[in-house]
Amino acid sequence: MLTKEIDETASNVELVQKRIKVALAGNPNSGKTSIFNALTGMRQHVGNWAGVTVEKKEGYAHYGGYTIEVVDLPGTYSLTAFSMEELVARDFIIKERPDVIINVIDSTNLERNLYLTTQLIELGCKAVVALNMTDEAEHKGIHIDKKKLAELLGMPVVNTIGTIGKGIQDLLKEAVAIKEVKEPLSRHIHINYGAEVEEEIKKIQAELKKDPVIPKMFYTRWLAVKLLEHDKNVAEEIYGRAQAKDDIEKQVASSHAHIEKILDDESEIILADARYGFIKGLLQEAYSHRSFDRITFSDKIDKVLTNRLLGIPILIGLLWVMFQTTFKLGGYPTDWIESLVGHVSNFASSAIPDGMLNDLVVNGIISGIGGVVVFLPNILILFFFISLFEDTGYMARAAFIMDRVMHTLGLHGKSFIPMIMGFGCNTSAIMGARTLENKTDRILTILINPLVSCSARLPVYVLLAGTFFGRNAGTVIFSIYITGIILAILVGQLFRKTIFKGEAAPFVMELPPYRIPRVQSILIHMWEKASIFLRKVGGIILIASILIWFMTAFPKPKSDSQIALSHDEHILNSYAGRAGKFIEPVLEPLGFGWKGGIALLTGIAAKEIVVSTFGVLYQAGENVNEENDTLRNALKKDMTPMAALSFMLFTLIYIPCVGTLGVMYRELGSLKWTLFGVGYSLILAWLVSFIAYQGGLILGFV
Amino acid sequence: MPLSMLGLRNKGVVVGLRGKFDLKIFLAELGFVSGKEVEIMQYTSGNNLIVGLGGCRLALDRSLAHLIEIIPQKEL
Repeated sequence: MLTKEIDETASNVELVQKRIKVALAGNPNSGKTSIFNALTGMRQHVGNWAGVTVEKKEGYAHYGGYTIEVVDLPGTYSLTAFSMEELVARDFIIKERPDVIINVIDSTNLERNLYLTTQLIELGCKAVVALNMTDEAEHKGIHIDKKKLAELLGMPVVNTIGTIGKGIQDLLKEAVAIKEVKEPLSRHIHINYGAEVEEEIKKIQAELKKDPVIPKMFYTRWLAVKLLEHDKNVAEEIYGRAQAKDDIEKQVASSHAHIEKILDDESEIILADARYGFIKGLLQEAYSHRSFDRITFSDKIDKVLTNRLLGIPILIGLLWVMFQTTFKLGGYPTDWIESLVGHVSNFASSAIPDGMLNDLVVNGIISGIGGVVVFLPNILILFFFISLFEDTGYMARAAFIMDRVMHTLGLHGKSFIPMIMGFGCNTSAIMGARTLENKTDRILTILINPLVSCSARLPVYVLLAGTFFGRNAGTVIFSIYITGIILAILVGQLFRKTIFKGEAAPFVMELPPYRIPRVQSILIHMWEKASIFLRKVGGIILIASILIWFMTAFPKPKSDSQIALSHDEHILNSYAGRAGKFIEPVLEPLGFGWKGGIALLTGIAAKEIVVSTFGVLYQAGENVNEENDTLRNALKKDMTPMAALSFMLFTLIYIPCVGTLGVMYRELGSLKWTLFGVGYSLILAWLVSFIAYQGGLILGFV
Repeated sequence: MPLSMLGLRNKGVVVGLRGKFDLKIFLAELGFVSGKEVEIMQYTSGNNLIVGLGGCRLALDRSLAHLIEIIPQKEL
């Protein structure tokens, strides 16, 4: 959308007044993010499963001289605050008080989506309803009387199709119009909870109104309803502020007792029933559909994909195809990039005069970055598959199919989604763990996630397995991945039995209809991951390469030394060498020496740097005009295949990278658990590598 | 009878919820309220189930399906 030029002469005061804050609220998978993208021109990832957006996101739209701040909230079924996403959404709506809420509704699933709307009505929010995916609803033969619905809800209703940007201008128009109206709502609707409940609501309201502050801050009917619902957060807030705390508390208790005695059910359930009753009445007047097939196309696909017997084998088959394609197909462009890097390296070494600068550029920067950048194709293909799983709607099924298996392992079906995403990158996977409602399930899922081998560790495996295991490299890499998963399961089970006792929470998840993914959406997702990767290469990996080169090049040997030091002796004498030597005793039983130690230390910054470090450590001082295989040859001289295997296992398990640690700390909200994650991974890495290496030696491998 | 005992492709009407408090509200808010029609669409591995509820599909684990009390449609 084009930005309307703000009048140059407008004063600052006017500018401030012309800002509106709009929040997008709606059920999971109702298309909030596609509306958000259409409003703001941003390109947030849209998937087809509940829980793609786990954090609120902000952007700006412009309409009729207004600057509209748009906040995309995570999807929620209600404002009861069960899961973290619901809490984020609710806190934002209640505490930040956006001027207008755009309630995005999946038109094909009106009834359930309107539940949240009833809660927004109760809150007395200024809201616009966006009836999204109207094309799909039409296709299904659903007819919604927009005018009638608007009248019954007391809010304007706009038809939208988020993916193609239809109805976006109308939405902005209504949002601005609603903001400008001085009174709270043109028509304020009350949901009728039935005579008995209504009477109690009035009594509680009366008590609340006696308080000097409360009625000015909140809408008392909403408070009364929430107190009847035993809402802990609201109760704390009110009882913390109210002067007439005791009177209110007494009234709420007596109302509870009265309702539950007369209607013979918990008041929450009665209220939820009444809201659905309100919706039912509303649908009778404003909704109709042509009789459609009871069995949809998605049901037919599910017959096969979620089949009791076939479901799991099909899932494993699809994952196998994903990995095979990633490695096999990715191999071709990788070769081209490798030879390109070789040419650049040759050119640089001949163009720059011999000396320090030559050494820095060729052996520091080019071998450091070149070693990593060749993996771009693999990473792109891997993310292509992950997007495909997300966008078609298969991800939700995968979680569900695995639920029973995961349960017997002490995990939750939804833990499976972060595990799959972990193959791409652990940081986004750990954020994805927010969809788990239960706190212990979430901590457990986060703690074991780094054991799922991310794409950053792939370069290490490809280099070492390719060097030492030749034709069996693919199998070795696949086994490393499997080892990671098995370890994740074992560790999860161990933690569940010792630290996090108890059962995983039960599983409920909405299964969205299957959709054909949009090419554009997948390409955007891949491009974003590629640009993150390339920025990492140009940023932290570049800096790390230079630092590593510096640490291996200095201190310079004394010029008066009689005998010229060999390359190894020189590095051994350098800062890096000293650090490596320092930790060598710990690593010796694992089969690799101080060079491996240095690589592991630097790999904490980002796991790809392990490869960069090898590049610098082994290539420096060699004849650069040799084939590109210098690094591989140098590695062969220094390591045995068993040591390489042990090193790969250590890389798989030990401390996640700094980026992942940061996200872990933020998501766990606890330094203790983050450090615990680091600690257990170090111990586990050492033990597994030790057993693999020493066991291999005993069995006669070298 | 509990929803988990309803046969494949059969329909029933929700009459009540049992079990722990939090779970009950959670289910009620998802739409399992008295009078709603549910249909068993699929039994998956481990006897988990996919149910049709007001036009959408929900994946439900068996322990939750035990908590949803229904009357089979045939008996109505």
